[in-house]
Amino acid sequence: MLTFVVLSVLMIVGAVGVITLKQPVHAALSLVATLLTLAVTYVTLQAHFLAAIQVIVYAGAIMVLFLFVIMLLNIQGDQPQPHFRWMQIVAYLTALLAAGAIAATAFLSPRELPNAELMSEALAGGGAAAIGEALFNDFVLAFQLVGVLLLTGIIGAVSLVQRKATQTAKDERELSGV
Amino acid sequence: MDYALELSGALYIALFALIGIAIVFVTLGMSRMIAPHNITPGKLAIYECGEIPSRGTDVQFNVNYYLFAIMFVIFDVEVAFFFPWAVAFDALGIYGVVAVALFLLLLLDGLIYAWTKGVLKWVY
Amino acid sequence: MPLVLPDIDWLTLAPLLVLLSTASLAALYALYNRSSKAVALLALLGLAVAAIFNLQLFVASRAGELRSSFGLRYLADQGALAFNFVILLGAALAILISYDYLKRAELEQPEYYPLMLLSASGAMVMAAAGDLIILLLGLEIMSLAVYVLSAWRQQARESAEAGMKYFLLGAFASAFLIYGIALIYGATGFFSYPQIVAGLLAEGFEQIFLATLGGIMILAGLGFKVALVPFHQWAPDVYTGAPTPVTAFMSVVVKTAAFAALLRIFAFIYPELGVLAVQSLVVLIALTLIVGNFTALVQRGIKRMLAYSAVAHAGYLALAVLAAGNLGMRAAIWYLTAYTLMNAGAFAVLTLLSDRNDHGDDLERFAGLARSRPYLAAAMTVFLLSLAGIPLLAGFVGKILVFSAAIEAGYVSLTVIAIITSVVAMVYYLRPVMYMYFREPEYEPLQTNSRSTHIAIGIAVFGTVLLGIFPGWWYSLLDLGQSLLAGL
Repeated sequence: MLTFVVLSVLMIVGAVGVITLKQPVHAALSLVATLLTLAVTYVTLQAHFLAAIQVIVYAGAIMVLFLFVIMLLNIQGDQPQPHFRWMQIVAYLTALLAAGAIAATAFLSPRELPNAELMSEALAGGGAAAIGEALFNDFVLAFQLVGVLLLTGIIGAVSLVQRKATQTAKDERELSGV
Repeated sequence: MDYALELSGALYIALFALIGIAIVFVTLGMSRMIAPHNITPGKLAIYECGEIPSRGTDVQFNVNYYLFAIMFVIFDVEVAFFFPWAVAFDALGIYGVVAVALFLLLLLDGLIYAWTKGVLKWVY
Repeated sequence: MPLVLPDIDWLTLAPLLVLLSTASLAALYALYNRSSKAVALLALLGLAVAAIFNLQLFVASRAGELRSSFGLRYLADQGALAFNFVILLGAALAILISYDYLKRAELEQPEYYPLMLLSASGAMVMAAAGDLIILLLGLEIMSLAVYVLSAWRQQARESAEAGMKYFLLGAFASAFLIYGIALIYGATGFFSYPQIVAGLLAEGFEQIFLATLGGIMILAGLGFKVALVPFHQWAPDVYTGAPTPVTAFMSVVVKTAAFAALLRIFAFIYPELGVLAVQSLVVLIALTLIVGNFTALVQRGIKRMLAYSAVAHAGYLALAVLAAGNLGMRAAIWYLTAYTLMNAGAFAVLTLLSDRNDHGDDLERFAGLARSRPYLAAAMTVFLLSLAGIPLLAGFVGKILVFSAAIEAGYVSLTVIAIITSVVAMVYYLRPVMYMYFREPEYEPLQTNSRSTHIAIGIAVFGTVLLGIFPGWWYSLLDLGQSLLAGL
C-alpha cells in the first residue's frame, strides 16, 4: 500500500509537471518520469512483461517521437500563450469532476476481480507467457491487424513526407530558374 | 516461484530511491568541495567538441529525420510483440511461427517500401 | 495446457484478404512503376475481386449458412456482408473520381490508391467486428489512411489544416473510444460482444454505471467519425479542405463503417446498458438534425453545404440506429447504399466544376449551368433532389424506411423533428438547382472532362434512379434474418 501511495504521488507530480512546465523539453522529461513510475507500479503488481513494454515502447519509442516533434516544430518555451480564462476554469472543473467520478466509482464500490486467482496464476512468470498464449489465440486477428495498421502508418508517413520533400525541391528549382 | 519483491516491495523501492538520491548529492557535493573554483568564459561555453557553438540547441530539424523516428517506433512496437511469442514459443509451436511470419510479412512490405523510397538514407 | 487453435474460416476473411494483398502489392508495384494508371486499375481490380468473394458469401448466407471466424470475432452475417458491398461501392466510386482529378490537380502519386484500399479494408473490419478490440483496430486502420489522404494537397493551407485537424480531433475521439472500451472491459471482463452481453446479464452484476459510461464514450468516439453534433465540428473544415475525391470517400465509406459498428453495438450491447446510454443518443440525434440542417441553410459554398448536409444525414441514419434490430439495420443499410450513390455522385460533379485547387464552388458558379453543361447539371439535379428526399429517387425511399423504423421503435417525436428538418433541407438542396436552371450564367464554366469521373457519375445516377423507382429488390435482399449474435 505504501509503495502504491509513493508511486502514485510521484506519478501525479510528473503528470502535473507535464501540463504546467513552460519548456516543452522539460514537460517531455516530466512525462518520462510519469511513464517510468507507471512501469515500476506494473512491477509491484507483478506484471513484469507490461513493465518492460512500458519502458521500451512508451518511455523509449514514444518519447523519442515527442522530442523529435519538439525539435521539428522549433517550439520556444517562452512564447506568449493565448489566454482563455473561462475555458481554463471550465477545463479544470471538468477534469476535477471526471477524476472525482472515477475515484468515487473505484473506491465506493470496490469488488473482487471476477477471476482473480486465474490472473495471479497467469502472472506468475511475469505475464509474458500468458500474454503470448492469449495473443496467439483469442487475439491473433487483432495481432495481424496491428501489422496492417503499422503498414498503413509506414506507407502514409513516407508518402506524405517524401512528397513534401520533392515538392520543396521542385519549388526551389523553379525559383532558381526564374 | 517466490518473489522477494512481493514481500518487501516498499522496502526495496524506498532503498533504491534513497541510494539513488544519495548518489546524486554525494557526487555533486564532493566535486563542489574538492574542485578548485576558477571560472573563465571558455569553461562556461556549451561543449561542442572544441567548436565554438554558433547558436542555441533549439534548431529546426529537417522533416525527414522524423521518418527515422517513426520507423524506429514502428519496429520497436513490432519487437514488443515478439517477446510474448518467444516466451510462449513451446506452447505455440509451428502455428505461432506461421502467425508471426504473416505479421512480419506485412512489416517487411512496409520496410521494403520505405527502404526503396530512400527513407533510411541519412539526409543533410 | 494444450493450445486451442482459433477457428479460421478463410472464406469469411477472403474479401478482406483480397483488399489487403492488393493494397500491399500495389504499394510495392508503385515503387517500380510510377504510372498511377496501372495502380488505379489494380486497385479497382482488387475491389472487384473482393466484391465477388463477398457476393459468394452473401449468397451462402442467404441460404442460411452463417459464417464467422476467430470465435465470433470476425462476422460474416448478412449485415456485415451488405455493408461490405456499400463500402466497396463507395471506394470504387472514389477511385474513379480520383483518377483524372489527381492528374489535373498535380497531386498524382501512386501511393494514393493503396492507402484508399487500406482504408476500405479497415472499414470492412469495422463492419465485421464482433469484438471491441477488432473494432478499434479497424477504425484506426481506416482513419490513419484517411488522415494522410485528407492532407494530400500539402501546398494548400486548407488541405494541410484539414489533415491536421482531422488527425488531432480523430486521435481525441479514439481516446474516447478506447476509454469506453476499457470501461466496458473493466466492468464485464470481456471484449467480444457475446461475452460482454453475457457478463452484463450475469447474476450479481453491479457495475452497470461503469458499463453505461463506457457505452456512452464508445458512442462519442463513433459519433465523431459519423459527425454527430456536437462531435461534428471538424466536419465542415475537413470536408472543405480535403481534396474533393477524398471528401467523397470520407463522407461515404467512413460513415458507412462507423454506422455499421454503431448498429451492431446498439443492437446487442446497448439494450443491456442503463437507459442513459439510449437517451444520450436521442439527444445527439435531435441536436444533429437541427444544427446540421439549419447550418447548411446559410452556406454559400456547395462543398461546405454538402459537408453540413452530411452531418444532417448522419442524424437520419442515427435514427435508424435507435431502431436497432432487424428493421433498423435494414433501413440503415438501404439508406447508406442510397447515400453512397448520391453523395459520391454530387462530389463527383463538384470535381468537374471547381478548379484544380477545389476553389470556385460558390453558388454563383452554378448559375446557368443547365445551358452550358446540360448533362452535368441534370446529374447534379438528380443527386440534390435525391439528397433532399424527393419521391422516385433513392433518398426518398431511404428516408421513408428510416422514419417508419423509428416510429415502429416508438420514437415518434424525434421522427417528427426529422420530418420537419428534412422539409427545411429542401431549401438548401433546391437552391443550387434553381441557380442551374433559372439564372443567367455569371461566369464562364470550366470545361473539365474526365472519362473515369463520367463513369462514376453514370453509375451513381443509374443507381440513384434505379433504387428510387424499384426499391424492393435491394430491400428484400437485405432481409437479414437471424443475426449471428442474436441467439447468444
